[in-house]
Amino acid sequence: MQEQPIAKGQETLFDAEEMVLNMGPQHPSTHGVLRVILKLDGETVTDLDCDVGFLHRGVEKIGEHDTYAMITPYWDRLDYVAAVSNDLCYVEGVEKMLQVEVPKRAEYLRVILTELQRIASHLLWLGTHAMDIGAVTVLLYCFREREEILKIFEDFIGARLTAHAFRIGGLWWDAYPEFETRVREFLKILPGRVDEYETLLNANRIWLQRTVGIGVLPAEEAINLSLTGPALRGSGVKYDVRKATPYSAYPDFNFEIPIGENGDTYDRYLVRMEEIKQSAVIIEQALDGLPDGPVMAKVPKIIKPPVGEVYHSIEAPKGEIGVYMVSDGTGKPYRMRIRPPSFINLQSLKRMSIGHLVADVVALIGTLDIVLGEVDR
Amino acid sequence: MADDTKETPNQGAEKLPPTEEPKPGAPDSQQDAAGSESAKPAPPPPSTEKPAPPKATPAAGHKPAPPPKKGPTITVDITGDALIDRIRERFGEAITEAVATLGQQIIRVKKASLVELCKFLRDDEDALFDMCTDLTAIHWPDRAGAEFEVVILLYSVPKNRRLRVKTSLADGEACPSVTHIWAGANWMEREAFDMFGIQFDGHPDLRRILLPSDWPGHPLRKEYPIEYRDNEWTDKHLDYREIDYDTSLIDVKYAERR
Repeated sequence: MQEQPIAKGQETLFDAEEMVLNMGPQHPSTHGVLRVILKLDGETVTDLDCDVGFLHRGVEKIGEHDTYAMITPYWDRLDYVAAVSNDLCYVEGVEKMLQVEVPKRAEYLRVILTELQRIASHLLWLGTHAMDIGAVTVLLYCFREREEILKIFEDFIGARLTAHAFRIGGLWWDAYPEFETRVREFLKILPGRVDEYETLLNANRIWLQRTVGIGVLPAEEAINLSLTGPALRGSGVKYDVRKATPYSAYPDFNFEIPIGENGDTYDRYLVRMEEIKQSAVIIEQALDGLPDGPVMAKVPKIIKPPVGEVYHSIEAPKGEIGVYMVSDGTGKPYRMRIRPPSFINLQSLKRMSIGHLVADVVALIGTLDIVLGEVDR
Repeated sequence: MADDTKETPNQGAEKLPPTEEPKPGAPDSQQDAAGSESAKPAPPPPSTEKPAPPKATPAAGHKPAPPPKKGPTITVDITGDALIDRIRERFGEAITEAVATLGQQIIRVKKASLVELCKFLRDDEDALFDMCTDLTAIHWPDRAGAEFEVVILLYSVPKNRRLRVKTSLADGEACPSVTHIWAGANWMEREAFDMFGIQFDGHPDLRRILLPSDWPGHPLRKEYPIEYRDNEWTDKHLDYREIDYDTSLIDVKYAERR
């Protein structure tokens, strides 16, 4: 905490000194190493600046020096609580360049894993977001269900967090024999558990006071700020990459895109809760229609996409994650740009926070659902 | 040269894929073969970072690659498209290229008309590109006078359509900012400045974003080596330095306890 002398013409209410408050980078509710510099009038935020980059590893630069296959694991470490979704984006981007057709079974398994990952990511978000606002119980319940998903991942992929699930051309392994029954068992318990969270929170007076009307973002502004994902849909914009530019096997499934009305923190919460249910619906359809066959397409051992460029994006739990790749015909990308949803969503924090209290900034960081591994890359 | 001996096994492996070429089809395999042939005569391909001096590596490695515009099968002209025709009509000579790669539309515009075009794309009733999905840059050190390419990826929520706008800049030249058109471009332009050193004219707050403010250089330029350590910066900020403590006081305390 440091104090600043009053600048001329900056005198505010009661001629109080404007205070500059430094939040983070080691602050539990910033979800990693995010530093937020707040300018305060009393307890009201008048200005805000985000300082990011503490976790910068230069993944885009590394990408220019590695072969296409070698880059994939780096994508796991971007949004490390939704590694499977990141993988899907990159792998499909390369497949698009190579014009490889992935076997149907692989695509269905990809959808199942990605939607499980979405549930896991939203559960982690719900737990931490609720804890930031003061409801500790929810965290414990959320981690109970997330654990089930991670166990399924562990047996399928071999890792729980940085799950290197997909390869260019399909999957490395087919599903293990009990995979289907285990996922079905999980889907059986999930709806009851989601109801439990909703009983805990939906009409909870403290929860409502902390979320309703906080960080209202009208639809037009949200689009103008390039928001994507549940944060955008909370403002009532029906934009979901799964429907807008369908990829993988998503055209085969019926599901709804939940949207909010008011664009506040509570609506964004409702959207994510509904998304968990919709993901379960998708997984069930994918399990019912899971075709037999190979899980790996024929892909050359040394991947050399033709000269050109591609942009491919998917709907990750955090928003639209995309890859823009330029190939010069060699075995390494000439340029690999990651479109990071957390990074781009985070810039709307300033717009949302101004006029609210310091405690609301914590709620707003939570509602944007950022992961610093992806913000900083 | 040490490079040559290192490369021979690699080139042997490169010959393999065309022989057992799978689905993608004949044109791709031709492309593949052409790529490897053109890569052969050039001795230092980009795969060897270590032996070469850091500055020469990426630039030299990418020289043999053919000019990256016309992929043989995948790029098509899109003059028939209604919106593209309107844009061409309106901006005439300023639009230098309009193509589609893998079904993704790209238009290339002269720098002077960039802001005007972006405003048109956002406000025109046929376009309505209300979201700037991404903004980034590419460094082409071999293209004299057009070393940098700024790429803006646009999306239209009402029309569900994507478009990529490109413009070329010389090294050291500033690009007009589009932050006042799409507020979301703010941090993306800051990142492009941080990584490439491209100035954006009219940006409200052009600072480094991911790297520390006193970091030297711009890492995504091709001449910036990947294995690089700025010792001076590291020493200043992160390194352990011995500090002269007055240890006598501490010693006394411990001595008393005993």
